[in-house]
Amino acid sequence: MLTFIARRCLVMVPTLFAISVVAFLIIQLPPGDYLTTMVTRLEAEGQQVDEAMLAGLRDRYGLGRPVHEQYLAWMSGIVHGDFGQSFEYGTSVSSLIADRLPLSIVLTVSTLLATWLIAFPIGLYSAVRQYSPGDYLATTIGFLGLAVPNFLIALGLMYVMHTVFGYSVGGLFSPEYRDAPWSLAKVGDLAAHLWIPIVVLGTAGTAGLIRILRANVLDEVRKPYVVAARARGVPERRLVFKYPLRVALNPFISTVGWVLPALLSGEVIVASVLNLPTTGPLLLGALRSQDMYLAGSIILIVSVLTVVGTLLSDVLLARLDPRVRLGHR
Amino acid sequence: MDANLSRRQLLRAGGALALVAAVPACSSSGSGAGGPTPASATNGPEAPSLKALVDAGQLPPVADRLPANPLVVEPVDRIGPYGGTWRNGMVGAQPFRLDYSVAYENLVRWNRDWTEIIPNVAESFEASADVTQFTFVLREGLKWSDGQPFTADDIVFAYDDLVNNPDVMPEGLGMFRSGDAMATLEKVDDRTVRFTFAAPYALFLDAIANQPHNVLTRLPKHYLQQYHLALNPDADAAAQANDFSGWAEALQHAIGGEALWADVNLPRLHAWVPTTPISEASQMTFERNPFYWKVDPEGSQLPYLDGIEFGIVQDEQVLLLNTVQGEIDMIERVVTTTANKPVLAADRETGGYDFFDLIPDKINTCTILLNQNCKDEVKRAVFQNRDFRIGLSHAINRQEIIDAVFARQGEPWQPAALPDSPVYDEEFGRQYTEYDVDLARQHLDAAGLSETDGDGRRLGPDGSPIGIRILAPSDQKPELTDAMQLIKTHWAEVGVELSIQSEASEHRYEILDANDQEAHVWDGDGGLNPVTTPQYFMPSGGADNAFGVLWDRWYVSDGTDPAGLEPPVHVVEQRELYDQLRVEPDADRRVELMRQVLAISREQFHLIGVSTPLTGYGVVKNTFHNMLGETYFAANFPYPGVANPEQFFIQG
Repeated sequence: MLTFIARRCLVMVPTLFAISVVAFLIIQLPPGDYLTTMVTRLEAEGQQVDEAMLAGLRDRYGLGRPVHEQYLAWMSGIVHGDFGQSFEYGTSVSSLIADRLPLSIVLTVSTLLATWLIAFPIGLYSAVRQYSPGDYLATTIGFLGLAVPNFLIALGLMYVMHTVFGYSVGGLFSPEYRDAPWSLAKVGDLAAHLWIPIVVLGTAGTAGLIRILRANVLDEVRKPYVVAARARGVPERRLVFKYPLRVALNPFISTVGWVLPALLSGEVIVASVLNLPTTGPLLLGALRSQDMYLAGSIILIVSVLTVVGTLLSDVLLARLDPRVRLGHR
Repeated sequence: MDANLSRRQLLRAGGALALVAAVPACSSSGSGAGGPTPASATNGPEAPSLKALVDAGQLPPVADRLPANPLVVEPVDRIGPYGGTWRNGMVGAQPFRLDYSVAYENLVRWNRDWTEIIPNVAESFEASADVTQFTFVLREGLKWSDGQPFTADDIVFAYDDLVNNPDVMPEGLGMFRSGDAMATLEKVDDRTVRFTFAAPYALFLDAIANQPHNVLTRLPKHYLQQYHLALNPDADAAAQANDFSGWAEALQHAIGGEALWADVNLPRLHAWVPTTPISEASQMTFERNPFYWKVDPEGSQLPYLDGIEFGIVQDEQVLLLNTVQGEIDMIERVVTTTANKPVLAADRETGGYDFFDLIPDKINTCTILLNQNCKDEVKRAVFQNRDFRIGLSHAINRQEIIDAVFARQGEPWQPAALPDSPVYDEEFGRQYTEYDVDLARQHLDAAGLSETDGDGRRLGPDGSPIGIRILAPSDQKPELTDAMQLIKTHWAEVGVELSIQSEASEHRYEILDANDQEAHVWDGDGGLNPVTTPQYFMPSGGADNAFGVLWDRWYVSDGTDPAGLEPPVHVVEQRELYDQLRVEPDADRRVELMRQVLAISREQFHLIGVSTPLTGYGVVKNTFHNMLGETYFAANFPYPGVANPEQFFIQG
C-alpha cells in the first residue's frame, strides 16, 4: 500500500507541472489582459487613460514580458508560497482565498452531508421496494431535480420568496451580522440562511445519488450470492446492509475525492445568483476581468485538489474493497 | 446663444434661487411642527458619536480637529440631521464606484454647476498670467483622517518623492507634463506650494478638478514613508510584510489609488474612511472621518451621514432586485441602464424611491467613425472623400432609428456640441441629417462611385463593390448594434454594403489599437465640454475616438514616426489651434479657439451621427436628501462626488 501511494505521489509531480502550464496558458489565451479590461471600464465611463500610468502598470504587472518569463515569475513565487497579487482587488491572492474559504467549506460540506443523509435512505428504499408508490414518488422528484438547472431553482426560489413572503434571499448573513464577530447568534443567522443554498445545490446531487444507488443495489440484489445468503436464512435487513449495499457504495467512494476541488470552485453560477461570499464567484470575476494571477492560482489549486482527491479516493477504495486491493496485485 | 437661454445658465439661475429660498426655510426651522423638521438648531458642532468619544477623552475637541478655515458647504436643499447610513451596492469589486462616490477631494474641484473651478483642499489658488506657474495655499490646521497634519510636505512628498521619481514612476504622469517635461515643485512655506511648467499649461487646474481622485491629496507622507527606500532603509521589508514584492510596488499601489480601498489604515482626507477593505466578500463599510474639514453654514462638522455601506453582490440582477426592494438609498451607476428603467419605474411606489436626471456629456447616441487612415488604401481614399460621407449621412433614416431603437427620444443630430455647451453650433448638429435618398445618391455619384454592378452595388475605383466592415461592441451598448442593423438597410438602398463585426471589448480594443478597423461605432464624449474633451472633434490618439490615429502619430512626432501618415492641412490647423488653446490663460479665449477647431470639424464632417444623446438617470430613496435633482454624467465631472456627498442626509 505504501509503495502504491509513493508511486502515485511521484506521478503527481509531472502531472501538476503540466497542469500549471496549462492553467497559465488558459488564462493567457483570451485576447487582451487585465489592463485592457481596466481601459474598457474607464472608457465606458468616458475617461481617457493616462498613457504613462498605463505603461507604468504594464511594467509593474510584468504584462509586457514574454509568456515564459511571466510563468517563471509566477511559479517561483508559488514555490515560496506566494500566489502573487490580484490586480483587481489590490491584495494578495492568498488572503482573498483565505477570506472566502471557510464559508465555502461550510457550504460544500453541509451540502454534501445533507445530500447523503437524504439520498442514501431514499435510494436504498426505492431499490428494495422497486415499483412501489414510494419508489415512483422518489423517482419523479429525482428526475425533476436532475433536469432543472440549479441556478433556475435559485432564481425561482428568490422570486417566490420576494413576491410571496417579501423576504430577500441571498447572502449567508443578515446585514447586522455581516461584520459582527463570531457568536452563537451569528451561527444561528448563518444556519437560517444556509438552508437555501443547500436546498438549491442539493437537489440535483440528491437526485443523482438516489438514481445511482438504486441502480447499483438493484444490480446486486439479483446476484446469486444474495440469493444464497437469503436461502441460508440471513434476515432481510441485515442481508441488504451487509452485502449489496457495501458493494453499491463503491461509486461514492471513488467520487468522494471530488469534494476537494468542489470546496473551491463548486457551483459558481448558483453562488453568483444567490450572492454567496464564497470562492466560486471570485473565480468567475477573476476570469472575466482577466485578473491573471488570481484566476490562475484558483485554477491551479483546484487542479491540485482534484489530483489529491483522486488519490484519496483510490486509497479509500482500496481500503474498503478487497477486490480492488487484490486485483491491483 | 443670445436668443435661447442655455440650460446651464438656467441651472445656475435655479441654483441661486434655491439658495435664496433655503435661507428663510432654515431660519424658521425650529417651529415647524407639521412636516419633517430640519434638525439644524439641535445639530451642534459635531456628530453625537464623535461627541461621546471626545467626552471619553479618546478624541480631541471638534475645534482642534477642524482647520482654522474649514470649507463651508452650502446644502443642496436644506441642513440635515446627523446619522444614518447610505446603502449602496456594487457588482464584484468596482473600485471606480468608490472613487467617484467617496474620493473626490482634490486641491481644487468643479462647482456643482460645472461652470467654475473652486477651492477645495486648497484654501486658495492662483495661476500666473502666462499659465506656467500655479500656486496653492493649503488650509491651516488641515488634518488627515488619523489626526496628523496635512502640510505642504505631503504634497512635496507625493510629487517629488513619488510621482516624479523615476525609481517609482518611470514615466511620471501625463497630467503633470507640459512642454515635454514634468513640472517642478517648490515649497514656498508650510502651507504653500508652487508648480512650475516648462511650457504654458492652461488646463492644469482643469486636469486636477477633472479627476475622481488626484494623487496630490491622497499620499500621506507620515504613513507612506515606511515604504520609501530613501526615507526608510527597511522599506523593502515593510513592503514585503504587506504582501508586496518590493518598496516601489507598495508605493505604486498607493499612487495608482488601489491602496485607498485595499488598505484601511491609509490616512485620507475623505468624509468617510473604510472599516473593511474591498477584498471583503459581501460588503464594504465606511464610517465618518472625525477630522473631516468641511462644515455646513451653521458650523456643524460634516458629513451628516454616519457611514456608507457598499454591498458587494456577484450579479447585476441581484443589485437590481435590491434597488427595487428599496434596500439601496442612492445608486448612480450599474443598475441605472435604459433597459432597467421600466423595471425600476414600476416599483417606485413600493420601493419608496424616485429618479434624478443625468445630462450626459455625449456627442451622440451613435457615432460612426470611418477610419480616415484605413489600412486598405482604396477604401482609405473613398472614406476620405467628403461627398461619400455626406451621401451616407443623407441615406440614414434617423427618425426610424429614433423610433425603433431610442424609444422616440432625441432628434436627428450629428456628433456635435450640445445646446448646453458654450460652443454650441446648431448648424454643425443639423447638417446633412435630412433623410433624402436622391440627395444621398447625388453625393455618392459626385464621390466618383457612380458605377454599379448587377446587384446595384456601387463600385470603387478598383472596380470591386464598396463594402464597409464596421466594428461594434458585443458586450456593451447594445443599442449601437441595433441602430447599425437599420443603417445597414438604409445604406444598401443607396448601393453601399455594410457588414457589422461584433466583438467583445478586449478584442475590440486590440483591433482599434492596431488600426485594423475600417470603421467603428461608439457614442462619443465631449458634447458639453469640448474644450477639455476634444478627441472626437479632431484626429487624436486614443481608442474609442480613433478615426485618424496615423495622422496623430505624424503630428505628435513632428513627422519623425515612420508609422505616421502626413495629415492634410486642415488637420494640422486643428491641432495647432488646440495647442494654442492648451497654453491660453484666458478661459473665454479658449472657448473662442475651440470654436475655430469645431468650425473645421463642421466643414470636414469626419463623423456621422444619428441623434441627440438620451438623458440618463439615477435612483434615490425618498428619505435620502440633498442629492441634486439634475446633474451631469461626464468623464471630467466626477459624479456623484461633485454633488458633495458629505451633505447628503437621511430623514423620514
